[in-house]
Amino acid sequence: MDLKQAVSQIINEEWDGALEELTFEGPYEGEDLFVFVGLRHEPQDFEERNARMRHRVRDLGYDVGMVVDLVDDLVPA
Amino acid sequence: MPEVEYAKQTQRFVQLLLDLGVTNPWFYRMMIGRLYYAAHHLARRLLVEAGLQPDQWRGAVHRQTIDGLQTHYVTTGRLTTSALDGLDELRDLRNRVDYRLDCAVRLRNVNCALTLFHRFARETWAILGVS
Repeated sequence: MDLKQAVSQIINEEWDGALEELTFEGPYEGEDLFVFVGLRHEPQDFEERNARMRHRVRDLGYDVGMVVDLVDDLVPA
Repeated sequence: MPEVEYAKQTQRFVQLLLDLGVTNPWFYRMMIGRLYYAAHHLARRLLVEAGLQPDQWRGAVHRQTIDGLQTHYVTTGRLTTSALDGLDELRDLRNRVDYRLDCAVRLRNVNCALTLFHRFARETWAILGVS
C-alpha cells in the first residue's frame, strides 16, 4: 500500500459519515504529502478524531500536512 | 527573550484586529501566518534551551523543529502531545492559506489558528518561566 492509500484509509476510517471531500494538494513546503479533509458537519468528538487521525498518519513515518475544515458550500452564511 | 515578546505582541495584535471586526481575507491570511511564525520562533527558542542550534539547520527546518520538540520535550514529559499537535496543525493551516489563494479563508480558520497558538504557547511560556 502506498502512502496516499494509507493516508486515505486512515482518513476514511476516522471521519466515517462526516467526510465530504478528500483532496491531495501541493505539497507546499517540502512535505511528503498534503491533504485537505472536507467535512459536511463537525462531529461532537471532532477533537478526539482529529488528534487520532494526525497521530496515526504521523506514525506512518512521513511528513504529511493535513487541514480539516467544513466544506464551504455546506456552511450556512 | 525576543521570541516571547514577539509571540505576545502577535497574540495581542491578532486579538485587537478581531475585536475591531476585521473581515478582510488578506488580514485573515496575515493573522494565521503571523500566529504560526510566532509559535515557530517559540519552538526554536525551546530547542536552543535544550542545547540545539536550529539556526544552523538547512532544509526541512519546520519539520526538524517539530521533530526536535518531540524528541527533547514531549518524550521527556515537559511538553504535552496536545501542545505539539497545536504547532503541527498550525503549520499545516498556514501552508494552506498561504499557497491556496483560490480557497476562501474564514473567520473560523483564524479562530482555529488562535486556539492552536494558545495551546502551544501556554505550555512554552511555562517551560521558559514567563507568565
